[in-house]
Amino acid sequence: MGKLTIQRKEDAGRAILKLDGRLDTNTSLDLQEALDKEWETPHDITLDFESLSYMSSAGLRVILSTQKKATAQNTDFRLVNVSEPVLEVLDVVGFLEFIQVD
Amino acid sequence: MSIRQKVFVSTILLVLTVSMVVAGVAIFQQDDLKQNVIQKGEENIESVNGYTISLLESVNYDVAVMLASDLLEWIYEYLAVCQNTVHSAADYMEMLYERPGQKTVETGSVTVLPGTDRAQTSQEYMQIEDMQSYLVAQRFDTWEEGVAMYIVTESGMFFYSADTGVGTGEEFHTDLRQRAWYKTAKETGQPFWTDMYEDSVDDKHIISYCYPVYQKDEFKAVVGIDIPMESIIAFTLGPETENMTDVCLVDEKSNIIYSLNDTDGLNNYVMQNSSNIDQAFADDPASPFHVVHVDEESMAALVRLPEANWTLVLYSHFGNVRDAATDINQVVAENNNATIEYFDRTITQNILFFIIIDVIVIVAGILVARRNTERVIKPIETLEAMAKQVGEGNLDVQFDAIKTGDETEKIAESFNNMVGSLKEYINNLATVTAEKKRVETELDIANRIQKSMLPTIFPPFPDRDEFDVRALMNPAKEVGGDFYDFFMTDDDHVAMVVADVSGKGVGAALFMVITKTLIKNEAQTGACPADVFTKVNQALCSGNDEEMFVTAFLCVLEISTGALTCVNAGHNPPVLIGSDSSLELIKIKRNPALASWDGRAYQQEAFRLTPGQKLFLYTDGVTEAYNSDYEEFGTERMCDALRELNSQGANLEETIAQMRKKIDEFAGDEEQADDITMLMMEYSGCDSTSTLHLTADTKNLDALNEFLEEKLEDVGFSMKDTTQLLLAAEEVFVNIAHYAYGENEGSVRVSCEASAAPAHVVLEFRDSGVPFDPLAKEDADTGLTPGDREPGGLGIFLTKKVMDSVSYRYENGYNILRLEKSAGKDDSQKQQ
Repeated sequence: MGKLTIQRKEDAGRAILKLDGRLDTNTSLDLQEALDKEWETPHDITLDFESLSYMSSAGLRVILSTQKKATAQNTDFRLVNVSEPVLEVLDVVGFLEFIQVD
Repeated sequence: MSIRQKVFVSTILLVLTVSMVVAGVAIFQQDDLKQNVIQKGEENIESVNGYTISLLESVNYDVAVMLASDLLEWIYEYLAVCQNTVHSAADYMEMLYERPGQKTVETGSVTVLPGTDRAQTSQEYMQIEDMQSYLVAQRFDTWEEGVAMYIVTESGMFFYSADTGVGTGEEFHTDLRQRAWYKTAKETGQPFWTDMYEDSVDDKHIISYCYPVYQKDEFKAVVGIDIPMESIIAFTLGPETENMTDVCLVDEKSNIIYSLNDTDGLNNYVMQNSSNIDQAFADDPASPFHVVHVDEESMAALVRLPEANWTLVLYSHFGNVRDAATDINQVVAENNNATIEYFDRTITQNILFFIIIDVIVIVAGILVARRNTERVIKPIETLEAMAKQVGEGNLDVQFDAIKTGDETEKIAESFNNMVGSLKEYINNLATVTAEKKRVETELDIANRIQKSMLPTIFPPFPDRDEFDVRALMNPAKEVGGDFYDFFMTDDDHVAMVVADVSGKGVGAALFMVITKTLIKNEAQTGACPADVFTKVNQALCSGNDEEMFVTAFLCVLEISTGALTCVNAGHNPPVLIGSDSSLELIKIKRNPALASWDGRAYQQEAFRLTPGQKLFLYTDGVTEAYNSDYEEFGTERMCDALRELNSQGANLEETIAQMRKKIDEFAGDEEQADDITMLMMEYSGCDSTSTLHLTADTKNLDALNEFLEEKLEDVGFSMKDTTQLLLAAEEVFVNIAHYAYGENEGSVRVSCEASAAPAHVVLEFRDSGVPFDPLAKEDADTGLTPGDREPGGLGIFLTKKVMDSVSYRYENGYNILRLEKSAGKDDSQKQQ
């Protein structure tokens, strides 16, 4: 528990980060770090939430800041395979309005 | 009294005393002398008086007797000579009558009595004519005047030894043959002494001796001699004896027939002693004279001649001797009185003289004392005034003005030196003071650092119900060598330590800082107490050149279980106090003091505390506090106090305060000799199933999750509910971790009360951070575009969304956030 692993794949210039575990206050830092690396060269990013069981506001903040950066760089940022509980959290805070979830 | 007065008064007193004593002694001696003189004088008078009188009396009597005897003999001899002369003349005449006339003589040359025929007498005259020249030859030239011898013959011739005034050959004017004496001699034919009679011619008192002359049996003539009493007296009594002697002649009947001076003394004597006079001669008829002692003042000398009927009485009285003695006495007394008077006068003068001298001495003494006092005191007063100036801060005063040449000048010189030194000293002092101030400041800082190193915020763990800790450290000096410490090594372990560094002061304080830091550092790694001490000991031993050491007691309490692990490094055994006030000293193995034995492996012991038990840690400053009798407070008194206070229900704070007070009361006025340190912990027990204590740090998030998952496991919440609960818990906890304690470390207590069927849970977060109500913040605006959204504020918003109710309160210094959720409610229901 309390662990988050991030697997990175590249598919036609798009980075696909697959998250496995929990995205909480502590683990969100790992994600932030991984994303900071991605921003060294602007490209599209997909976060795969298939194996993400939990996300707290800390994760929301990372998503929000990533979205802001993507908008600024005019790149594409999206979430895929979002589980029910995580989707609910995104919905509750109204993120679904501006974050693309496939 | 000022020195001036003292010196003055003492001098005056001395002068007064000496002069008074001298005057007193002199006056006393003078007076004594005077009394002596008077007394001796009076004694002299008395003794002279008595002695003179008695001596004079005795001498006088003897002299008087001798004189009287001599006189009597003289008188007797005188009268006897007269008698014998008459006898011789008579014998010669009788012889002449026996022979015929030798030659023819001129009868005309004979003196005849009236009626006598010269012619008829011529024959007889021729025979006795020699009698004329015989009588002349017998002239008593050497005798006193008036003594005369004569012959009257029956025939009418008259021969006379002295000049009778009648020329030779003339006729005498009186017929003497008709006189009584002649007739008596002629008739008795015996010689005899006549009684005294007064001479018709010259009034002399005369006695006569008459002798009848016979030729054969024929009466022829009478030879007689007249002796005037005056001549006897003149002969016998010189002018020397005249005053003391009287003479009288008494007849056979003791009638006074003649008295020289006719004094009462003599007359009375004769009148009263006529029988005695006769008796004197009757007793001793052989002696013709006697001396009779009459009385103390007088005597009588008696003489009686044969054939005489009278007695001559010489009466001597020497009463006048006494007068003489009295006169002498008077003279002596007068002289004496004059002497006394002289002495008296002289002594009075002397006393007066002494008084005057005294007054002069006193006056002079006062003047001299005043002058001397002035001379001595004036410089001292000057000195005092100068010293006062110095005292007021004027260090430029010069004491050179005082030139008395005595100690005062030396004092002034010393003052001068002193002021000089003082100036120098003050200059130095400024430097030194600055330096000292710096050191003091540093010491003060050290003290504050030391104090600040000890946890002083009580209660130290307000969010922990399971135990409480109170402690106190009073250093004996500015910075002490004692310390206490307590800290959480993790959420379930609290470490407590009490230690006493050998020595005191800065050195000890520094060592204490090192020790405390090392212990805390080691303990916080989670090492067991024995390992902590083993490591700390090693660290301290290396480079411990000062050979300092620390006695210490460290214990770590596992809050959830009450397990207490202790290690003792040469420290006093702590006291375990039961809830029933029973006491027990924790006498676990005692290891050597820290820093004393390099490489030592420390050994610990563990036992379990039960809720309600208390632990009392202390240093020897408590037990070895002593009073004025050097009696120690001692373990027994300490335990008694603990027992008493515990049974009174005193809490930790009160117990420590009261213990401190009792130590003070015991010590009385004695200064605190050693640092006094006490630490007390109460274990209340732990309900580990519903409460979790966490350090407010996001790294404890997993522990929180574990705790909650375990609690919620069997309650019957769906996966979704559980996730939401965890989400809410995380948001709250992270919020506290980020904001409640700022940069500091703090703790959070999380309690979770979960109940099943229907599943219900109440979560409560408690922290003692800055008061903050997270709910007061406006809800995040979910409708904004991402560019407008701020990254914060989502957590609480989410919490509110997922929980049935969220409430905040601030209570007793705690922020308390309460979350509630029941199973099965969905958002739609909730929103309605």
